[in-house]
Amino acid sequence: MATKQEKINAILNDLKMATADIQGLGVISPDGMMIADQLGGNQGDATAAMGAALGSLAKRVTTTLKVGEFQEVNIRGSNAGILLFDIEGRAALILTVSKGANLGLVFLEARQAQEQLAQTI
Amino acid sequence: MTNITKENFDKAKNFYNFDTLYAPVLPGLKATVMKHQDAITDAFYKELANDEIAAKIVAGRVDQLKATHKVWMEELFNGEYGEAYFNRRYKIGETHVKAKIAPYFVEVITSSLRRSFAQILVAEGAVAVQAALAILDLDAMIIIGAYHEDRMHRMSDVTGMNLNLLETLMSFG
Ligand code: HEM
Repeated sequence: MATKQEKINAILNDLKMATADIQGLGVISPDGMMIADQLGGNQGDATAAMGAALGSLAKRVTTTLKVGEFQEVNIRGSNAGILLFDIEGRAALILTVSKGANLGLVFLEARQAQEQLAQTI
Repeated sequence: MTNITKENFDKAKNFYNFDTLYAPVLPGLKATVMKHQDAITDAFYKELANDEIAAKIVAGRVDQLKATHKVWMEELFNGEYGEAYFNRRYKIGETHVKAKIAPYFVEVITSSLRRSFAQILVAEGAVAVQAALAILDLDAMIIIGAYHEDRMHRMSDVTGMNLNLLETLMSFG
């Protein structure tokens, strides 16, 4: 039987294969630890901590402004984008996407992965 | 409370070998210090009264505070500096945090207490002064620790970031 880690990696692999617009991806804990890292590069620890910070703050703002349940953060940089999806407060899925990415497709695929991760983690 | 202040308290005691070098000396200093307790406490509140903000904080309850201050000072020399001691001191810290007394005041008053203790104990020799200053420093560390922890908790509440995450983030600074 596959371990939890293997299941998480399999979900990330599928997501990465879905569209070439996804450059890197990872799953992070609310403590800012990397649970699964396919981001590439050597920024994993900092990305995990900052991603968790982003998610926590976004959740806090969502609650304060009473706009329902926190779902995702979408950051657009001049060279690429960063997306962060909440996984029921237990973790977050972080993606880096290319400039001019087809966000419709990326969101569709990422939300599916989000659901699968929620069942796994 | 997280464990950080307690850990620092235990580490500091080990660092300057408090339990061996100073804890056994302190009960022997109690009589001398308590002989001057009224004067030390009066000086403590006189200094606070000179500051506009501090004066307002203690206004109307100086006598009651002097009584709690006396108990606090006696306990410095009881010879027991374990978990129960730490918990009592941490509660004192929390009381000051809740009363919104700026930690600055605790720092300056501790400095003033250090000078008073040194003056009173100088005739008893270097170890006596060192022991009294060592326990004062530990007390200040605990009280200031309570302030530090309160700030971290408030930061955590306002940002939604848990305490572990805040510590991790600061490690990148
Ligand atoms: C080393 C410095 C200090 C020590 C050892 C000390 C000691 C104490 C103690 C033992 C108590 C009673 C705590 C309790 O009931 O839990 C207390 C309460 C209090 N202290 Fe201090 N104190 C210090 C500094 C200060 C300063 C600088 C101020 C004011 C500027 C201050 C103002 C007060 C007030 C207002 C209370 C009562 C708080 C309340 O019950 O709401 N203290 N202090």
